[in-house]
Formats: sequence, C-alpha cells, structure tokens
Amino acid sequence: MRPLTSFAMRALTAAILLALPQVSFAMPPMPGMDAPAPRQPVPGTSIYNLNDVWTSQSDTPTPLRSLRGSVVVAAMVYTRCRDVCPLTTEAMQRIERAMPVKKRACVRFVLFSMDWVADMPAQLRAYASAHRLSDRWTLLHGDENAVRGLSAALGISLYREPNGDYQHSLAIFVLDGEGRIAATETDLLQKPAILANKARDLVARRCSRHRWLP
Amino acid sequence: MRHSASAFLVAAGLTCAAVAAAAVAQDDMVPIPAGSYVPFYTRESVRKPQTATPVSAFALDRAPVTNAQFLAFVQRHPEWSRSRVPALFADRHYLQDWAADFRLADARAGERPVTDVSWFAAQAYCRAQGKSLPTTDQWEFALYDNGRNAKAVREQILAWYATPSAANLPAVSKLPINGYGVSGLVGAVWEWTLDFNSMMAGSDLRGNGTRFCGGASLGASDPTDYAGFMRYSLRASLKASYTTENLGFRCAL
Repeated sequence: MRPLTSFAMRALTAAILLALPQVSFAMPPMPGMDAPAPRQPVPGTSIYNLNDVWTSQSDTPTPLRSLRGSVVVAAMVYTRCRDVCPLTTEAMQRIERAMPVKKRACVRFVLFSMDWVADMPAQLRAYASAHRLSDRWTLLHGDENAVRGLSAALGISLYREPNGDYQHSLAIFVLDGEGRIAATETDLLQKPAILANKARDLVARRCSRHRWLP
Repeated sequence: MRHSASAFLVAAGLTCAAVAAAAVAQDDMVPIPAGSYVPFYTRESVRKPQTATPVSAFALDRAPVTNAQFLAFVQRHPEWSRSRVPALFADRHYLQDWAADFRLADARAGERPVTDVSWFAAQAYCRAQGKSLPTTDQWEFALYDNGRNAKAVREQILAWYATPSAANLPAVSKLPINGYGVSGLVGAVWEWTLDFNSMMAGSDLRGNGTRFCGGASLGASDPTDYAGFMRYSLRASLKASYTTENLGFRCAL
C-alpha cells in the first residue's frame, strides 16, 4: 500500500482541523471524552501508546488516549487500600486546591485503579463520593493487562497479594496534553504547589474554551 | 515499504520456518503440575520466610522464544518492528542485532533465543499467541523443578554467571532440559516475567520500609543462594522498556 504523500497528508490534516470547530459545536463532547483529539500519532514516550480501554466510574468506556489534550494529574491506587492510597488522593486534592481556579478547570484528575478484580465502576463511584472528589476527577477500572501495562509504563511496582491487597510503589504524575510524564512526585508530604505549578504551566491559555465537561 | 529482492527472499524463507514453528506452539508447551516452592525472596507482609508458595498448574513454553518466532510476530504486527516501536515500549537497543526491521542477522540466528526485547514487546508477543508471560512464581517454580538436582542447578547458574557472554547464543535445541522437559531456563539468557516489577526497589516502598537491596537478606529463604539473589535483584533493576543482549523470554498459559 502506497502511503499518502506528505502533501496529501497535510491537506487532509488541514481539512480535519478546519472541520473541528463545527464538529464540536454540532456535537457536545461525549461523557468522558475530550474535545476531538488531533489525528497525529502520539509521541513515542507518551503513555497513550497503550491502547487499553478503561471504564470510568460512570461506566463509560474510556480509551487511555481519550485523555489526550488535557493536562492530567494521575496516580495508581485501589479502593481497599487503607493507608497510602487515601493519602495519595488527598495529596492530589491539595494539588487541585493549589491551582488557580481558572486553570483548575482545565486539568483532569485521574485515579487508575490497580485492583482489576474488586474496583468495578460502582466501587469507584463510592470512593469518589466518600472522598468528595470534584467533577474534574475520573476514576478508572482496567483489566489486568491494562493495569500491568500502565504500571510498567509509569514505573510503578505492583504485587497483588493472594488476599487481594497490593504492595505497590507510590507516585503522583503530571502528564502533558500528549500523555508524556512532565513531573513525578513520590513524596506525598511534598508541598502541593510544586506539582500544581507544573500542571498550571502546562495548561494552555486558551484552556477555558476546551474545558473538559464531565 | 521497500526491501531488496534478496532481503525479501530471506525474510520470506524465515517466515515460513517461523509460521511452521508457531503452528505447533501449543505442542511446544510443557505442562507444569501444581505444587509449591520456597521462593528465594519472600514478601514479609504475606508470609514468613521458609514457607512454601503454592503455584497452580500451568503450561510453559518448552524453550525460550527464538528470533525466527519473534520475526513472524513482528511481520504480523509491524507496529513492533524496530523502526516503528514507540520509545515507551522499547529502548533504542531493541532488536539491535537484527539486520533490518524484518530481517535477521543471518539464517542461524533464527534458532537462537530472541534477546534485546522489552517487557512490552515480550508480553505483546505472548498475548498474540493467546498466552502471557509467566509470573515470577511460575518461572521460579519451573526452575525449582520439584527439587530435582537443586545443587546441580545452582552450580550451573553460578558457572553461567561466571562465564563471559559468548559471542553467539546457542540454538534453543542445544539448551539443557530439566525434569519437566523445560529447556534453557538458565544457561543462555535471562527471561522476563509478567510481574518483574513486583519487588519494591527504591525508597518508595509502602509498609514497613524493607527495601530490596538492604533488606533482602532478612527476607531471603536461603541467604547462601547467591544465584537466587542475582535473579531477583536483576528483575528488580529492570524497567519495562529495557532491552539487553542477554534478556529474552518465553510464554505461559
């Protein structure tokens, strides 16, 4: 098969880009989806090279790549975890509060559950409610392959014990709009401003037009 | 895509061999009956050292995956070819001994264990076969070999570690076979496991703060098992995109 010439490719891309505003006016973004993502392949180091489809707390199928276009503050946790996972969640909430209100609206907070057995969407909804997470938060359930792939990509150690608990390492990540790791924090007691500033800096000025609708 | 005619013929020839190998892949697995073994390193919060870890019955590839088999996979899934694999999935040494994206260094390379493959690539290969990488417990249990020749195996491993890498790996058919009929678990290449990253290394362990490097001897079931220490610390040192010339894999079901 002959690849499109770069000219044709550029023309096609331009046509798609020109069509985008109309599309987004005509169709409100679907739940869990961002404004239409550009068609270019994601960068090589992007975690959006993982093509797993996760499921959100509202039962919405969520391809990892659908996060593309948003600045994401993310961590891997599981809801049965009684110690460090709630602390991780709270640390992310402190990051959320440390961000300027306008910019905050353009950042998504994502918890990837590492418990592919127990953390079904209903469980994630209960967790979101118990922790009073704002509507900027997405909690995602994935199967074992999705979880192992993501933990490998993020460098998170993971061991599922026979009783369903996990031993795991800790980190909060800031991902840029292309899914590249822009910042990592492994110290939960670190000042939230460090990651908040990183996320703030990544948010484009025009973010208010593209704010994510839950 | 363009290949020279000769390159294409070589690749086509290797593909035929590889497809034939893939067709008998299920027969190329060895059933490993359920049992238990004492891992070198025990996770303290789960069990005390010296207690056995149960392992359910599973099937394991008889031999490490070869270059020819991996070439057949890459041809069916060109997104795993050297020039197309994203940096997230493999570092820049990925398949570096191959002549080109779809061409091995030479015909004999096809029979040798594939190396310079990342965890992502290895797991993608196994999933394409409807299999998975073995868990560390499965792999170690197969190596334990129901206790057969434990001393000999350990000596074999240490002798292997002490030997500088050979220029060429042996063909998988030349690798020693253990009591289950599994060949080459040690002696030629290290192998990826599904949960290679299940050991807490570094400063961010949750729980009681035992770290692998400093704390391992406390959790080790046999502190004199230097070979075991080598395997566990190697796995703990890996990242999923790493590729090296002595790290291959096989699949489990």
